[in-house]
Amino acid sequence: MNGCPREAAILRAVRAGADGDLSVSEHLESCSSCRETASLARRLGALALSERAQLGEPQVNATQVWWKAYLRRRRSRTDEATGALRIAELAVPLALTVVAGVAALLAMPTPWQQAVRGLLEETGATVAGAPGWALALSAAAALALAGTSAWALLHRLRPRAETTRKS
Amino acid sequence: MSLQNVLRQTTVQDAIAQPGEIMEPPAFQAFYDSTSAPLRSYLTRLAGSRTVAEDLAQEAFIRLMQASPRYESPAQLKSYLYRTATNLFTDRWRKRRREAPLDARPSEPAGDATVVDVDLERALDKLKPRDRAMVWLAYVEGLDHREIAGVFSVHERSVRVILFRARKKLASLLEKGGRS
Repeated sequence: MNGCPREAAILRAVRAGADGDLSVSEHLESCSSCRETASLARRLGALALSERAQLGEPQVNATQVWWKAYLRRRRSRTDEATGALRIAELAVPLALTVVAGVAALLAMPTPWQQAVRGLLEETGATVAGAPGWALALSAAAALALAGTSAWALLHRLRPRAETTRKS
Repeated sequence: MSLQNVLRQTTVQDAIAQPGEIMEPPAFQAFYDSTSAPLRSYLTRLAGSRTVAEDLAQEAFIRLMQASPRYESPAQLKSYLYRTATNLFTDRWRKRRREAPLDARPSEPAGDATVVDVDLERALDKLKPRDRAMVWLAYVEGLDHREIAGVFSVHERSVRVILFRARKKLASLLEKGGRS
Protein backbone atom coordinates (compact mmCIF):
# COMPACT_ATOMS: atom_id res chain seq x y z
CA MET A 1 0.00 0.00 0.00
CA ASN A 2 2.97 2.34 0.54
CA GLY A 3 4.87 1.76 -2.70
CA CYS A 4 8.63 1.58 -3.01
CA PRO A 5 10.84 2.95 -0.20
CA ARG A 6 12.93 4.78 -2.83
CA GLU A 7 9.92 6.61 -4.19
CA ALA A 8 10.73 9.92 -2.48
CA ALA A 9 14.29 9.88 -3.80
CA ILE A 10 13.09 9.04 -7.31
CA LEU A 11 10.56 11.86 -7.15
CA ARG A 12 13.26 14.32 -6.07
CA ALA A 13 15.48 13.14 -8.93
CA VAL A 14 12.68 13.57 -11.48
CA ARG A 15 11.87 17.05 -10.20
CA ALA A 16 15.56 17.99 -10.34
CA GLY A 17 15.83 16.58 -13.87
CA ALA A 18 18.29 13.95 -12.68
CA ASP A 19 16.23 10.89 -13.58
CA GLY A 20 18.74 10.06 -16.30
CA ASP A 21 21.39 9.25 -13.69
CA LEU A 22 22.59 5.68 -13.82
CA SER A 23 21.42 4.65 -10.33
CA VAL A 24 18.00 6.18 -10.92
CA SER A 25 17.48 4.74 -14.38
CA GLU A 26 18.63 1.31 -13.19
CA HIS A 27 16.11 1.40 -10.39
CA LEU A 28 13.38 2.61 -12.72
CA GLU A 29 14.00 -0.36 -14.99
CA SER A 30 13.46 -2.80 -12.16
CA CYS A 31 10.69 -1.05 -10.14
CA SER A 32 7.28 -0.65 -11.76
CA SER A 33 5.94 1.42 -8.85
CA CYS A 34 8.71 4.01 -9.23
CA ARG A 35 8.33 3.94 -13.02
CA GLU A 36 4.70 4.87 -12.54
CA THR A 37 5.65 7.60 -10.05
CA ALA A 38 8.32 9.03 -12.35
CA SER A 39 6.02 9.01 -15.35
CA LEU A 40 3.26 10.77 -13.44
CA ALA A 41 5.68 13.30 -11.97
CA ARG A 42 7.03 14.15 -15.45
CA ARG A 43 3.55 14.62 -16.89
CA LEU A 44 2.37 16.67 -13.92
CA GLY A 45 5.54 18.77 -14.04
CA ALA A 46 4.96 19.54 -17.73
CA LEU A 47 1.33 20.39 -17.04
CA ALA A 48 2.34 22.71 -14.19
CA LEU A 49 4.91 24.46 -16.36
CA SER A 50 2.41 25.10 -19.14
CA GLU A 51 -0.18 26.24 -16.62
CA ARG A 52 2.23 28.69 -14.98
CA ALA A 53 3.17 30.09 -18.35
CA GLN A 54 -0.51 30.72 -19.05
CA LEU A 55 -1.12 32.28 -15.64
CA GLY A 56 1.18 35.21 -16.35
CA GLU A 57 1.84 37.94 -13.81
CA PRO A 58 -0.29 38.11 -10.64
CA GLN A 59 -2.98 40.79 -10.43
CA VAL A 60 -1.20 42.37 -7.47
CA ASN A 61 2.53 42.55 -6.89
CA ALA A 62 4.49 41.79 -3.73
CA THR A 63 4.59 45.43 -2.62
CA GLN A 64 0.82 45.78 -2.83
CA VAL A 65 0.28 42.57 -0.89
CA TRP A 66 2.84 43.66 1.72
CA TRP A 67 1.05 46.98 2.24
CA LYS A 68 -2.35 45.34 2.43
CA ALA A 69 -1.06 42.93 5.07
CA TYR A 70 0.70 45.73 6.96
CA LEU A 71 -2.41 47.95 7.01
CA ARG A 72 -4.71 45.10 8.02
CA ARG A 73 -2.34 44.10 10.80
CA ARG A 74 -2.09 47.68 12.03
CA ARG A 75 -5.87 48.02 12.00
CA SER A 76 -6.32 44.80 13.97
CA ARG A 77 -3.73 45.95 16.51
CA THR A 78 -5.48 49.31 16.83
CA ASP A 79 -8.80 47.52 17.34
CA GLU A 80 -7.16 45.33 19.95
CA ALA A 81 -5.66 48.29 21.79
CA THR A 82 -8.79 50.43 21.74
CA GLY A 83 -11.16 47.56 22.49
CA ALA A 84 -11.03 48.15 26.25
CA LEU A 85 -11.68 51.86 25.79
CA ARG A 86 -14.68 51.20 23.57
CA ILE A 87 -16.09 48.80 26.14
CA ALA A 88 -15.50 51.35 28.90
CA GLU A 89 -17.31 53.96 26.81
CA LEU A 90 -20.33 51.69 26.77
CA ALA A 91 -19.97 50.29 30.27
CA VAL A 92 -19.62 53.53 32.21
CA PRO A 93 -22.92 55.08 31.02
CA LEU A 94 -24.55 51.69 31.54
CA ALA A 95 -23.25 51.48 35.12
CA LEU A 96 -24.30 55.08 35.81
CA THR A 97 -27.77 54.35 34.43
CA VAL A 98 -28.07 51.33 36.71
CA VAL A 99 -26.94 53.37 39.71
CA ALA A 100 -29.33 56.20 38.85
CA GLY A 101 -32.14 53.69 38.42
CA VAL A 102 -31.48 52.11 41.81
CA ALA A 103 -31.28 55.58 43.42
CA ALA A 104 -34.56 56.63 41.83
CA LEU A 105 -36.18 53.42 42.93
CA LEU A 106 -35.05 53.91 46.50
CA ALA A 107 -36.09 57.59 46.53
CA MET A 108 -39.65 56.83 45.40
CA PRO A 109 -42.03 55.91 48.23
CA THR A 110 -43.50 52.85 46.57
CA PRO A 111 -44.73 50.04 48.76
CA TRP A 112 -42.26 47.46 47.51
CA GLN A 113 -39.36 49.94 47.73
CA GLN A 114 -40.30 50.35 51.38
CA ALA A 115 -40.27 46.61 51.70
CA VAL A 116 -36.73 46.44 50.27
CA ARG A 117 -35.59 49.18 52.62
CA GLY A 118 -37.23 47.41 55.51
CA LEU A 119 -35.52 44.16 54.57
CA LEU A 120 -32.13 45.84 54.46
CA GLU A 121 -32.68 47.49 57.81
CA GLU A 122 -33.92 44.23 59.27
CA THR A 123 -30.73 42.48 58.25
CA GLY A 124 -28.80 45.21 60.09
CA ALA A 125 -27.03 46.52 56.99
CA THR A 126 -25.91 49.81 58.49
CA VAL A 127 -22.41 51.18 58.70
CA ALA A 128 -21.57 54.11 61.00
CA GLY A 129 -25.14 55.31 61.01
CA ALA A 130 -25.63 55.13 57.22
CA PRO A 131 -29.00 53.77 56.22
CA GLY A 132 -29.14 50.32 54.61
CA TRP A 133 -30.29 51.59 51.23
CA ALA A 134 -27.26 53.93 50.95
CA LEU A 135 -24.96 51.02 51.67
CA ALA A 136 -26.77 48.84 49.14
CA LEU A 137 -26.52 51.59 46.55
CA SER A 138 -22.78 51.97 47.13
CA ALA A 139 -22.29 48.22 46.96
CA ALA A 140 -24.28 48.00 43.71
CA ALA A 141 -22.28 50.82 42.15
CA ALA A 142 -18.98 49.29 43.25
CA LEU A 143 -20.00 45.87 41.93
CA ALA A 144 -21.12 47.34 38.62
CA LEU A 145 -17.86 49.22 38.15
CA ALA A 146 -15.74 46.26 39.25
CA GLY A 147 -17.63 43.98 36.88
CA THR A 148 -17.24 46.25 33.89
CA SER A 149 -13.54 46.78 34.66
CA ALA A 150 -12.95 43.04 34.89
CA TRP A 151 -14.84 42.50 31.65
CA ALA A 152 -12.84 45.21 29.89
CA LEU A 153 -9.56 43.78 31.21
CA LEU A 154 -10.41 40.25 30.09
CA HIS A 155 -11.47 41.50 26.69
CA ARG A 156 -8.17 43.26 26.30
CA LEU A 157 -6.10 40.28 27.40
CA ARG A 158 -7.88 37.66 25.25
CA PRO A 159 -6.58 38.70 21.79
CA ARG A 160 -3.03 38.81 23.15
CA ALA A 161 -3.34 35.27 24.49
CA GLU A 162 -4.60 34.11 21.06
CA THR A 163 -1.69 35.81 19.29
CA THR A 164 0.78 34.13 21.63
CA ARG A 165 -0.83 30.73 21.05
CA LYS A 166 -0.66 31.14 17.26
CA SER A 167 3.02 32.07 17.26
CA MET B 1 21.56 25.69 -6.00
CA SER B 2 22.48 29.02 -7.56
CA LEU B 3 24.00 31.89 -5.57
CA GLN B 4 20.85 33.92 -6.17
CA ASN B 5 18.73 31.18 -4.63
CA VAL B 6 21.06 30.92 -1.65
CA LEU B 7 20.85 34.68 -1.07
CA ARG B 8 17.09 34.58 -1.49
CA GLN B 9 16.78 31.78 1.09
CA THR B 10 19.07 33.62 3.47
CA THR B 11 16.94 36.76 3.27
CA VAL B 12 13.74 34.86 3.98
CA GLN B 13 15.49 32.89 6.70
CA ASP B 14 16.66 36.09 8.40
CA ALA B 15 13.21 37.61 8.20
CA ILE B 16 11.35 34.68 9.69
CA ALA B 17 13.84 34.39 12.53
CA GLN B 18 12.11 37.32 14.22
CA PRO B 19 8.88 35.99 15.71
CA GLY B 20 5.88 38.30 15.95
CA GLU B 21 7.37 40.89 13.59
CA ILE B 22 6.05 41.45 10.09
CA MET B 23 8.39 40.25 7.36
CA GLU B 24 10.55 43.01 5.86
CA PRO B 25 9.58 44.06 2.29
CA PRO B 26 12.74 42.72 0.57
CA ALA B 27 12.39 39.35 2.27
CA PHE B 28 8.70 39.23 1.46
CA GLN B 29 9.44 40.16 -2.16
CA ALA B 30 11.85 37.23 -2.42
CA PHE B 31 9.39 34.85 -0.77
CA TYR B 32 6.51 36.11 -2.92
CA ASP B 33 8.52 35.83 -6.13
CA SER B 34 9.46 32.25 -5.39
CA THR B 35 6.04 31.05 -4.21
CA SER B 36 3.39 33.17 -5.91
CA ALA B 37 3.27 31.39 -9.29
CA PRO B 38 3.33 27.84 -7.86
CA LEU B 39 0.67 28.77 -5.31
CA ARG B 40 -1.61 30.31 -7.94
CA SER B 41 -1.09 27.27 -10.13
CA TYR B 42 -1.99 24.97 -7.23
CA LEU B 43 -5.08 27.00 -6.37
CA THR B 44 -6.15 27.17 -10.01
CA ARG B 45 -5.92 23.39 -10.11
CA LEU B 46 -8.03 23.17 -6.93
CA ALA B 47 -10.59 25.88 -7.60
CA GLY B 48 -10.77 25.58 -11.38
CA SER B 49 -10.78 29.35 -11.74
CA ARG B 50 -7.90 31.76 -12.11
CA THR B 51 -9.84 34.64 -10.62
CA VAL B 52 -10.66 32.65 -7.51
CA ALA B 53 -7.08 31.40 -7.34
CA GLU B 54 -5.77 34.98 -7.49
CA ASP B 55 -8.06 36.06 -4.64
CA LEU B 56 -7.24 33.06 -2.50
CA ALA B 57 -3.50 33.40 -3.08
CA GLN B 58 -3.55 37.06 -2.15
CA GLU B 59 -5.53 36.36 1.00
CA ALA B 60 -3.19 33.50 1.92
CA PHE B 61 -0.15 35.79 1.69
CA ILE B 62 -1.88 38.47 3.75
CA ARG B 63 -2.86 35.97 6.45
CA LEU B 64 0.66 34.58 6.53
CA MET B 65 2.03 38.08 7.07
CA GLN B 66 -0.54 38.85 9.74
CA ALA B 67 0.16 35.66 11.64
CA SER B 68 3.97 36.10 11.39
CA PRO B 69 4.51 32.45 12.21
CA ARG B 70 7.78 31.39 13.77
CA TYR B 71 9.42 28.84 11.52
CA GLU B 72 12.95 27.63 11.13
CA SER B 73 13.17 27.33 7.37
CA PRO B 74 11.64 28.75 4.17
CA ALA B 75 10.28 25.26 3.47
CA GLN B 76 8.23 25.41 6.67
CA LEU B 77 7.00 28.87 5.80
CA LYS B 78 5.98 27.60 2.37
CA SER B 79 4.18 24.70 4.00
CA TYR B 80 2.33 27.17 6.26
CA LEU B 81 1.37 29.22 3.20
CA TYR B 82 -0.06 26.18 1.43
CA ARG B 83 -1.96 25.15 4.56
CA THR B 84 -3.51 28.62 4.80
CA ALA B 85 -4.40 28.61 1.10
CA THR B 86 -5.88 25.12 1.31
CA ASN B 87 -7.99 26.09 4.32
CA LEU B 88 -9.21 29.19 2.50
CA PHE B 89 -10.16 27.08 -0.50
CA THR B 90 -11.92 24.50 1.71
CA ASP B 91 -13.93 27.21 3.48
CA ARG B 92 -14.94 28.70 0.16
CA TRP B 93 -15.78 25.32 -1.34
CA ARG B 94 -17.96 24.38 1.65
CA LYS B 95 -19.74 27.71 1.53
CA ARG B 96 -20.38 27.38 -2.19
CA ARG B 97 -21.61 23.81 -1.77
CA ARG B 98 -24.12 24.96 0.86
CA GLU B 99 -25.30 27.79 -1.33
CA ALA B 100 -25.51 25.82 -4.58
CA PRO B 101 -25.21 22.07 -3.99
CA LEU B 102 -25.72 21.18 -7.65
CA ASP B 103 -22.99 23.54 -8.82
CA ALA B 104 -20.04 21.81 -7.19
CA ARG B 105 -17.89 21.97 -10.31
CA PRO B 106 -16.18 25.26 -11.09
CA SER B 107 -17.81 27.25 -13.83
CA GLU B 108 -14.61 28.71 -15.28
CA PRO B 109 -12.16 26.37 -17.04
CA ALA B 110 -8.76 25.98 -15.38
CA GLY B 111 -6.73 26.57 -18.49
CA ASP B 112 -6.90 27.92 -22.00
CA ALA B 113 -7.35 25.89 -25.13
CA THR B 114 -3.60 25.21 -25.18
CA VAL B 115 -3.70 22.45 -22.60
CA VAL B 116 -0.76 20.14 -23.13
CA ASP B 117 -2.13 17.01 -21.52
CA VAL B 118 -5.89 16.72 -21.83
CA ASP B 119 -5.94 13.14 -20.56
CA LEU B 120 -4.08 14.09 -17.43
CA GLU B 121 -6.34 17.10 -16.82
CA ARG B 122 -9.38 14.90 -17.21
CA ALA B 123 -7.95 12.24 -14.92
CA LEU B 124 -7.04 14.82 -12.27
CA ASP B 125 -10.58 16.16 -12.35
CA LYS B 126 -11.84 12.69 -11.50
CA LEU B 127 -9.98 12.72 -8.18
CA LYS B 128 -11.50 14.09 -4.98
CA PRO B 129 -10.38 17.70 -4.35
CA ARG B 130 -8.27 16.70 -1.35
CA ASP B 131 -6.58 13.82 -3.22
CA ARG B 132 -5.95 16.09 -6.21
CA ALA B 133 -4.40 18.70 -3.94
CA MET B 134 -2.18 16.10 -2.27
CA VAL B 135 -1.01 14.72 -5.61
CA TRP B 136 -0.18 18.24 -6.80
CA LEU B 137 1.72 19.12 -3.64
CA ALA B 138 3.69 15.87 -3.70
CA TYR B 139 4.45 15.56 -7.40
CA VAL B 140 4.62 19.18 -8.54
CA GLU B 141 5.54 21.22 -5.48
CA GLY B 142 7.79 18.54 -4.00
CA LEU B 143 6.38 18.68 -0.48
CA ASP B 144 7.24 15.58 1.51
CA HIS B 145 4.65 13.45 3.31
CA ARG B 146 5.23 15.20 6.63
CA GLU B 147 4.67 18.64 5.10
CA ILE B 148 1.54 17.49 3.28
CA ALA B 149 0.25 15.98 6.52
CA GLY B 150 0.76 19.41 8.10
CA VAL B 151 -1.15 21.13 5.30
CA PHE B 152 -4.18 18.88 5.66
CA SER B 153 -3.90 18.21 9.41
CA VAL B 154 -3.85 14.44 8.89
CA HIS B 155 -1.43 11.69 9.87
CA GLU B 156 1.66 11.17 7.74
CA ARG B 157 0.69 7.55 7.19
CA SER B 158 -2.69 8.64 5.82
CA VAL B 159 -0.92 10.87 3.29
CA ARG B 160 1.16 7.93 2.11
CA VAL B 161 -1.94 5.75 1.66
CA ILE B 162 -4.01 8.49 -0.02
CA LEU B 163 -1.17 9.31 -2.42
CA PHE B 164 -0.66 5.66 -3.26
CA ARG B 165 -4.36 5.17 -4.03
CA ALA B 166 -4.59 8.43 -5.96
CA ARG B 167 -1.58 7.48 -8.05
CA LYS B 168 -3.06 4.06 -8.82
CA LYS B 169 -6.35 5.68 -9.77
CA LEU B 170 -4.60 8.23 -11.98
CA ALA B 171 -2.55 5.51 -13.67
CA SER B 172 -5.68 3.49 -14.31
CA LEU B 173 -7.56 6.52 -15.66
CA LEU B 174 -4.66 7.50 -17.88
CA GLU B 175 -4.60 4.02 -19.37
CA LYS B 176 -8.21 4.61 -20.42
CA GLY B 177 -7.38 8.06 -21.74
CA GLY B 178 -8.56 9.95 -18.64
CA ARG B 179 -12.09 8.53 -18.80
CA SER B 180 -13.57 6.53 -15.93
